[in-house]
Amino acid sequence: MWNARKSVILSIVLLYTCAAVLLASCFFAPFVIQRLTRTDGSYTFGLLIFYICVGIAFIAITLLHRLLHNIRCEQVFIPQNSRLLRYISWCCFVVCILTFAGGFAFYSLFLVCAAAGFMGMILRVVKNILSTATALKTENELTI
Amino acid sequence: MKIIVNLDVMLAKRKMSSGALAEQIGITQANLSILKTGKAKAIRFSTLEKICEALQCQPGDILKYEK
Repeated sequence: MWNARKSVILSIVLLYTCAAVLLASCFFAPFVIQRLTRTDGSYTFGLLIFYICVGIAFIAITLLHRLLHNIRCEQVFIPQNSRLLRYISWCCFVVCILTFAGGFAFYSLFLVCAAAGFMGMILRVVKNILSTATALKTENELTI
Repeated sequence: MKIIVNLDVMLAKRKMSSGALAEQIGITQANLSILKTGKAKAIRFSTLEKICEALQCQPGDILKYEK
């Protein structure tokens, strides 16, 4: 029977898969970017943007892992989770800014920029909802 | 501004222990402690009614407003 616990485990498995794909992409990135670029300057720039974004993605994955760990321990409405969501949303915004700069060299990066910005915005909304829910839960617990 | 809970004073006046009050009104000692220490964010009318009934007092005897 499908339940919340299995859902969290599936999320963790997907997170590990994502991390593995990201790690693998680090090895293939130089070849792919070389095929996409014509000059040495744009190749170096593209590679730099890619590796910075991968670094930020790994930070976001680590934060997501901590968030899922808290959820698994049935600690959902705690201030730490709101903080983690805020950090993840900032990761998205940093990637958004980086890919916006990179977009002038590789136009397709504007799509990544829009996606990262939108994701960051959604995460901020979820973070605001979670903060309100945490405050409500605290108030409810302290109502005698 | 602050609402002060004078439950300790009333308990002492009625010579009643916290445990006995908690048992009489049907709440845990931990929750009664939250109320006594002023950590509570709110109090239900039903709880206040039970406390007043158990301690034979008025809500004003338990709660006090201070600027």
